[in-house]
Amino acid sequence: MKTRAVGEFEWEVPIGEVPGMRVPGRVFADQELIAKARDDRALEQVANVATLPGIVRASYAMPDIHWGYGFPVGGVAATDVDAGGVVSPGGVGFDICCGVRLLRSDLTLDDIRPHLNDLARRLGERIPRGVGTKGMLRLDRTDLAGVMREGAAWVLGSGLGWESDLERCEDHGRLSGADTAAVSDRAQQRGASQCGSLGAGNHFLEIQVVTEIFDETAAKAFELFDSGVCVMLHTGSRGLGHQVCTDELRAFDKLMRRLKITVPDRQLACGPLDAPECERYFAAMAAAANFARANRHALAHGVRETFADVIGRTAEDMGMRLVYDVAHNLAKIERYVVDGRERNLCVHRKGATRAFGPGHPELAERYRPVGQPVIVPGSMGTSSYVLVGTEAGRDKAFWSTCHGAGRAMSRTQAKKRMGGHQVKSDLEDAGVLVNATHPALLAEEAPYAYKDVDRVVDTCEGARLSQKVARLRPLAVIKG
Amino acid sequence: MPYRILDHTADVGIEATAPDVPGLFSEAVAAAAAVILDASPGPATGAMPVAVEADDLGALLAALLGEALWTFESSGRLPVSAELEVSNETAAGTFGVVDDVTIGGPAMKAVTYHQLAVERTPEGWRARVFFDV
Repeated sequence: MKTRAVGEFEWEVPIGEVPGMRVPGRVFADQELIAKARDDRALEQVANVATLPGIVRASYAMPDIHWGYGFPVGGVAATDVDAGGVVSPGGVGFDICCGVRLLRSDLTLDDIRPHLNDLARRLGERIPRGVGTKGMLRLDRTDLAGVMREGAAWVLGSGLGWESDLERCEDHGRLSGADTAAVSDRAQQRGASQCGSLGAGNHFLEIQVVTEIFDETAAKAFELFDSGVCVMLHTGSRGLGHQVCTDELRAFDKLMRRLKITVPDRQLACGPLDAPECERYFAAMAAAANFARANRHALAHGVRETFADVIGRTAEDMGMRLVYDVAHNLAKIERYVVDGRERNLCVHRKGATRAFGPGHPELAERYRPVGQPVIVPGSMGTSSYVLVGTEAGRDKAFWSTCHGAGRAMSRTQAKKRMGGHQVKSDLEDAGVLVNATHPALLAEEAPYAYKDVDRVVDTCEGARLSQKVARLRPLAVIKG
Repeated sequence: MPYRILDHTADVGIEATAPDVPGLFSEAVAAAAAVILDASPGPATGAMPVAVEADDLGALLAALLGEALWTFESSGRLPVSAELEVSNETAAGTFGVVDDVTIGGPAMKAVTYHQLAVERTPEGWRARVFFDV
């Protein structure tokens, strides 16, 4: 796949690299990251996405890009709602509204050190995790309907969490337009038992400490300080979201045949935004997104309770407030000026995070002066980051930035390099406690299987997609 | 080898071969089980009914594998083979299943349509499927 440099941190995949490209590909990467992107089929996927009907400006890829299914992971594509634009369920993915939530605290590293072993053990006991695990909440169908409609607010209404959590959450914890009738029985069956569970794979919960502040003003707004203890959790909509995408992929595959739309990869199945199938998809996607928000909200409650039990102070007293909750697999209708005209665009972010710049009206008042917090998890043993959206980000890539380090190595390669027990022991030698239900699986998620997260966030900053606010180091990792 | 595991940066794929379509689908079920177990699955110790519909053989195989994942998630019994009657639009019969499974591989979330293929070859049939893990 041909690429040409169009800036220090920007590369173009020219129209024509794949038949039917309507716009060029635009990859944000430095020399090393673009070389990695060429190693797998990610750039071909960037070009494939550029064939989607109604796509505007470019098929974008964030610096953590890698080969996905249909869309590359790290892909961003916006289609014009009023000019034949499409939505593609594969452009959101199976884990709808997978995302990251960060809790901060007034605790310092010295405060927590004596409790760290207990916290890692107790969080491991308290937080349901692993494949198909039953969640903390037991929901009947009426409760589940409430979760799908109201998201985090439903869990708050049931007595868990804090009122202030909602304004510190993308979409205030609730994506509008959810319709439970659009969610199949099987999806609901899978969801009813899994709300308040972490899952497996790359999902995790980490106790972290802030090791560096890059932007004092934003850090103050986000209530982060050097040596401050935080808790990060990464999970999504569990089986409910997986099933919604599975159901919709089948429906869109049929729709495309009926409308004679062709795409280079069947996983890019899509349909025009005015088709009834698309209306139903948005209603089901919003329901799954709300489930994901409720899931992370419930888990955060479990974290606060565990800290309170172990440390012997209330979560309020420890200042365990939410910094933010971001999604990195979602499609949304947003307004942007393209070619001199303001338009409604359907912005797909698949493994990419929305990053509104300062002054955006959708941001809570406390964050509006500085911009939206962006939570970027590293890989076990490496740093995670808090970033902030920039003014320039709007025109760069529809206010989007990276979502993590991005995989660099397949699971098979990672396992060949080292066994899971060795990975655990190396992490513990480096001062990171590990509580995993399947230590053998740790090898698949080993730090060396990922790109260098420092390089990824520096590239985002160089490309003016986002700016660094704080770096966090893991102290304890809880994995499914 | 009737199936092999395909490398992918983030996810995992399988390629299966067989002389006929029912055999191909059974090999694909075994391959998915091999990914979940991170080992070749043993013989089935039980059976569970399965029936799926789709517009073509590729979508049919994806639907069948989706049922296999659902069977595992909902019952804890892992499909390791299938005895099926397959037409272009339906597959019906039984999964051969095993109990008391130890998961040794990645959590398999869903069956994708990425590079999905069921195709005739000079020797018989070949299928390729990627899973979201």
